[in-house]
Amino acid sequence: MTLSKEFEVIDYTSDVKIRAYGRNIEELFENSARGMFSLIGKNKKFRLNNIDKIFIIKIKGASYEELLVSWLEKLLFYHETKKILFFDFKIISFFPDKNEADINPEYSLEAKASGERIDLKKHEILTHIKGPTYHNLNIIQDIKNEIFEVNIIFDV
Amino acid sequence: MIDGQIKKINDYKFEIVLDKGKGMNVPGIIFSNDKLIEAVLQEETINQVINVASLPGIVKASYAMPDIHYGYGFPIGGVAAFDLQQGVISPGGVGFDIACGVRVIKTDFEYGDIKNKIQMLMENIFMNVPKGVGTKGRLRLSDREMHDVLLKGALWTVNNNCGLEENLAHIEENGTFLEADPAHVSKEALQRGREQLGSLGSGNHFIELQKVCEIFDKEAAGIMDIFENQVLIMVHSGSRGLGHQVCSDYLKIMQNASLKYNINLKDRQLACAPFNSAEGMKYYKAMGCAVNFAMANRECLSYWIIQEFEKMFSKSYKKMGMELIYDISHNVAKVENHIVDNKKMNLCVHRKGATRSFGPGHESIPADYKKIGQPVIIPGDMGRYSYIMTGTKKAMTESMGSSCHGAGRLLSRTSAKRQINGSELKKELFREKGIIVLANSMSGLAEEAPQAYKDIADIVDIAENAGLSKKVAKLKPLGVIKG
Repeated sequence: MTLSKEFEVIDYTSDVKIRAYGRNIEELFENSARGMFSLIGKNKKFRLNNIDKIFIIKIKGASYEELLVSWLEKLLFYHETKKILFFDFKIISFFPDKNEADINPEYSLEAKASGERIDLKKHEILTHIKGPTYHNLNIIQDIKNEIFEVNIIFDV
Repeated sequence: MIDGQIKKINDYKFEIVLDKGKGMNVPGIIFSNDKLIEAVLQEETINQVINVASLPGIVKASYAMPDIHYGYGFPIGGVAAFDLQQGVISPGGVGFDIACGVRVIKTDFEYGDIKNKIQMLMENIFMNVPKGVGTKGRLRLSDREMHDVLLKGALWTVNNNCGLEENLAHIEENGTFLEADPAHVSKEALQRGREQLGSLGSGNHFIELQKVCEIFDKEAAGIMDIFENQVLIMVHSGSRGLGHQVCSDYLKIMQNASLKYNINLKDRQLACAPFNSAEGMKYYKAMGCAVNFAMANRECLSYWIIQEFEKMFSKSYKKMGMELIYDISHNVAKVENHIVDNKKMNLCVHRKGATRSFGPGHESIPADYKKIGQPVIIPGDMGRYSYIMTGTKKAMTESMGSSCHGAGRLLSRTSAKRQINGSELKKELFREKGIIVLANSMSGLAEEAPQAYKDIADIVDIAENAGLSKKVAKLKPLGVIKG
């Protein structure tokens, strides 16, 4: 099965909202990050990226939602402090998987994020994101299509 | 309208009737008028005002300023005061950009004096004042220096050649939030702030050169040394990544604290802890650090802007009459004295997108403004105007000493970008209004187009008619810098 879209940007008066999709929770996390960075910046011209900055991210949380917020926050942190525009995201491991989630209260993930050092000649910075919010943040699963989906509101 | 739930008190004040079934502890009060109230009621804003009214220890009412709009957790334009013993403190009631705020610096120039130099002046400022991610900062602070900034605020800039001592008295709290304690600020927050002191940021932040186009209150204008056609500088910026990280860190801590203290939340973004709990005090002290960072940030920015004036006109800032009129923060929680039902109370007042508006004689107002009340600075959009107002005694009883903070968005950022082309807008503002606009991102500019905002004249009229603040002067943009 293929996803018809990875994420979409939704109208929201004061801030910015994205809806991300994934065939599994890993893909949902990857696409949430993709959605966030589509708001942050882009390559000015279409060309192959020279993605040479790679970060391994490990985080913990008390729920999938909290883990999602921490994941996005960590990426924002590296974006700002290391001046990186991220283009590629890969969840390496995820604990627990959705079958054991109910019995294990400690969630964690390990992921790889790759990007380029920001160069204003090459990149356009679109939006400065202050942070992801918890407002109406619920990861839901469409049982019929087995698609995970989440709405995330960012303060910009 | 929502039937039976909203009561019109007078032409500028509406009440969301106290409904215990909805968990409300106090009523909601919305300052608006017949023209704007419909828009307020159509949004989910009302629910957000009600959610805030349901938090423990809230006193008197959950207030919505005239520029109220839907946000996340607390509404933007929300004011809520909490009892220090029974009440809570909430990072979501302050927002990510802690102590985001505005300042106005006056000059002795009339528009005609510098008309031909504005373009070059704006270009020099644009080049030499850091804007944010992707641009080079001018300061890189050590751990020790960060610690001092977080403790001392704008005072730090005075001791480190990037701020002016005479400005301190015209900043809220004289430029230093005394309860700040850097021990409660995370390493990540320090790292985000390290290279960002003295940088503008993007979004709705700006540096504007403005012209006074109308005076409403001659006495107050005289005391602030404001006159018609005068050139002023307005700076809108906040606590940058440091403040954003403090908010993120404590939102997480408060998720657990809310459970621990059995606080029933209608929205996780409202997560909070009792003011007097360990978690509450830590947040207050960490937030204080971000307030200090923001005040130091705006002082640095304006110091460097003043330097560009000095270079351009080969005169000292004193010879050009450059002085800070006032510096306010519009996203903050502060402990203040208020009189509630004839009783003096110490309250933690949250203002999220609202300006403190203390009236004449208040102890927190600098000596030279005691007679007229605290200056209340209301930035508008880049194509129309901004206002300087003063606080009122009535605001003390009506809105916990608070007024509006800006125009409020009309269009979402995405629809603004769909409808407006940034480069076209830049040309149009120059062609039709003579406004010079400099920005790094043209799509960012489109998001901030005048059409994306409500007319601020409507907002300040409500604020004045409701008695929350009083108009002193109207300012028109001449040049705009966006991050």
